[in-house]
Amino acid sequence: MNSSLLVWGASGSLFILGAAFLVLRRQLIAMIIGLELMINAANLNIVAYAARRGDAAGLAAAMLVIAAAAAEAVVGLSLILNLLREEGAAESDRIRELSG
Amino acid sequence: MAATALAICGGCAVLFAAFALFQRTLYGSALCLLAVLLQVGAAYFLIGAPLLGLIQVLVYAGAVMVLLVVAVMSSPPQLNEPWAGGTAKWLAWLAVLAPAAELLSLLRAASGAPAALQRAPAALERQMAFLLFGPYAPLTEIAGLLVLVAALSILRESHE
Amino acid sequence: MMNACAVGTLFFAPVSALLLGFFVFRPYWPRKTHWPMLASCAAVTVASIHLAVQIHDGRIAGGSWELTAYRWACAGSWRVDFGVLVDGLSISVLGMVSLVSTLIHVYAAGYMAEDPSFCRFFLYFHFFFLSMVGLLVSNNYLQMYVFWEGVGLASYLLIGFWYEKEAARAAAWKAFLTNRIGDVAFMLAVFLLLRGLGTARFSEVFQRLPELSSSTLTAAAFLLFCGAAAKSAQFPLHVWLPDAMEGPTPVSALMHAATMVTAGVFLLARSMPILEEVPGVLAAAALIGLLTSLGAAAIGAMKRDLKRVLAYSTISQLGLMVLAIGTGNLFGAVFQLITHGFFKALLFLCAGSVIYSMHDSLSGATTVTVDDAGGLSKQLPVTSGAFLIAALALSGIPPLAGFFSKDAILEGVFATGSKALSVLALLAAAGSSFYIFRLLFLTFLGDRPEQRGPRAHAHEPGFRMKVPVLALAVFSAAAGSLGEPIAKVLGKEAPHLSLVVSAAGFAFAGLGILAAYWATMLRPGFDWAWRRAQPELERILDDDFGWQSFTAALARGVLGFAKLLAGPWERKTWDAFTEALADTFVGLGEGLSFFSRGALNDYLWWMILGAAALASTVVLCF
Repeated sequence: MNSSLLVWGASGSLFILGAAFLVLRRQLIAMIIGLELMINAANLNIVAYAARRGDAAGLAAAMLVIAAAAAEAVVGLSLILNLLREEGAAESDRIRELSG
Repeated sequence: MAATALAICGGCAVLFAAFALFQRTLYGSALCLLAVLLQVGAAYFLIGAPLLGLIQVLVYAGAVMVLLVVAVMSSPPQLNEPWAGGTAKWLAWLAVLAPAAELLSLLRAASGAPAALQRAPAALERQMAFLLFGPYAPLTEIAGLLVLVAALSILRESHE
Repeated sequence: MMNACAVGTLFFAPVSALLLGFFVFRPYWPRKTHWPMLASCAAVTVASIHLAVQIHDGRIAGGSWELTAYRWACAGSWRVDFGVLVDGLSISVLGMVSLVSTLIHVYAAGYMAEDPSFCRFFLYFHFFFLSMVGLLVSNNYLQMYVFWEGVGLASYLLIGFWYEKEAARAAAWKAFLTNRIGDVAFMLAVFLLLRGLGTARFSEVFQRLPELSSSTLTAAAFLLFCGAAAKSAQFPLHVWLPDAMEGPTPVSALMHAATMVTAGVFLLARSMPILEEVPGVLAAAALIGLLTSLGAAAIGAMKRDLKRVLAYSTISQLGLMVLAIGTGNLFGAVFQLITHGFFKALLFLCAGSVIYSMHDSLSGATTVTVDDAGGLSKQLPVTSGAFLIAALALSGIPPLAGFFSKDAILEGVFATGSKALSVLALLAAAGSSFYIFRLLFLTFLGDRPEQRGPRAHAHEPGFRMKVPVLALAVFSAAAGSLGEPIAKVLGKEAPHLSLVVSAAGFAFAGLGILAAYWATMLRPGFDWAWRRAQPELERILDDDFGWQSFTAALARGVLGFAKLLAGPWERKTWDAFTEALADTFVGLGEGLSFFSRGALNDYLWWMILGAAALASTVVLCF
């Protein structure tokens, strides 16, 4: 069985499930979970191809993606915590005011 | 052997992602995410990037998950109706069926012996390190700075 | 060098006085604002008299001194300069204007002393003086037009000076809007000349008149006459001047009697070379001048309000000047303009003194009627004496100023050979002596039961108001001797005084005086008796023979049409259109806002759909 094909399938499935998660759930924390799933799906693909082609640049990119994703999760979660404190809830359809 | 392990990892990851979709609590979803992240980390290891796998486990399964769990714990319990407003549950089932169909078609299309995995992890990762701290050094610095700023922001948040 | 300094002073003194007054005196010493103005008036007077003497003695080559200060506007083949033209015409009028201005500034300092807006008054007043000087010494039509508007603006501001009064505001509007008609005509005339000749400079325009087509020339002459008629209150457009008496009396004296209203006559005198090319316009000017003179004399003969009688007298005298222009008698018009400036200013100052003596607080008191007066000569001997001199001068009794100037006009009229014109001009002269002596007798003499008579506290005004009155009385008496010099600087032959004309003029003036004596002294109650007997006649005369109500109806019609346009019509057409436009876009926005109602999940759906569409496009096409 072709392992790259396998990885491709797995990462594609993960991406679709993550997108579904992102779109279908309305708690902001759940949406962050969906985002993480999607990022991981993309990252998995990158790493697989980089390893197969022996291209270290791909691995470096994946590395940076992990760092950026971690930062994004931190910022997103801190925003959500703030919202929870201010509004008492963190749901995407209750936050539709652009202020400031 | 490695290909089988990889297949199991990928299958488990997809399975847990699908589970996450149907959890009625955020806590459950977060646990499913943890499982997916661990599977992906294992997949990195099997593909031939053990260092990335290690970082994946450390950063994602460790740090980010802790944050998520803290956030989940500080949000009010949301048991009823996990779906976004007005969307039918069958959309979620569709989201599960689509990857399944994709995997099936890929399995049918796959033929021949499993390709040998790349076996030069040490050299590749040394090269990666050289790239990260050589030509990509500014990018690395920016990413590091980003993480630092994010950490500072959450610190300020928790101080308020 | 001296001459250049003198010409520079003409502009420099008023401008610097205004700047000083506005920036220094207004904030710090508002009650002393008259000092820089007085200094500037005196400087301009000295400068203009110096220039007049220079021109008279022939020490300025060609008798005129022209200077182009800078090129103001220039486009294609035409250009307009900013410059100064000092010649016989402008300097003779300027001498009178600056002299009278100085005296009336002195008078106003006393008359307005208690007014809370003393400073504002003098700033407006001196702004008028600056504009008038600029108007007189302009060397081209466009520059003259600018200053022409300047005097119009000053007139508007000063008529409405006591703006708390409804009547003053209305009068200011009336004056401004009526003058607008003339201003537009003047402007069109300037544009015609600019289009035809590419220049507005007097010397060039008059030299190159043959280049103009006869229709352009006729139109320009006619429009110039219309402009002059509005400013000089000639018949169809005279309605603003009587109402302008709502302003303070020094304003009436300086602007609406002696100087500003004569700007129209000055314009005609300046444009004489153009008018002479178009005999039709000259004939029209003669007719309108005569008509105005007679009509205003008739109306003025029955008014009871002191200042209104004087206003109609001004209209009548301006009519005589326009008549002189119409008969081609430039010298007569200018001579009458100058002597009239002296004695009419004097009459108004005397009226001001009467008003001043009869009101405890001046502010807002613009006039008195003959009902309030009567027998004032005992309490106001100086004023009544000065009024008598001015009245004699106005009537044309020798050897006072008016005799010579009116005679010059009558000479010109007789020279046309038209019997009817001559008789009517003599009648106008008789009328003027009648109304002025009627006013004199009713105000200063007699003891009539219908009048309230002199008040116990009535008194001569102070020193500052007496000196200008006395000085003007001297000028009114002696200005007749200016005839020769004026004729010389104008380069005209002073008409030889013929015995027939002089005798006729004198006889008619005497007849007018006798009639006035009969109507007011021999039959003291006559003025009140005919009013009671003929209220209809009084109404007709009050209405300017129907013209006032006609213009009022016209104004109401225009106003009603404007209200219709601005009200229902605008709402139905333009407003409806703009509102429909706005509604369309609001509806469109509300429809589109369905796609962006702020729900994050919706956006994500769109994003995913878009990404899928992009990806499938890429996959399918490549």
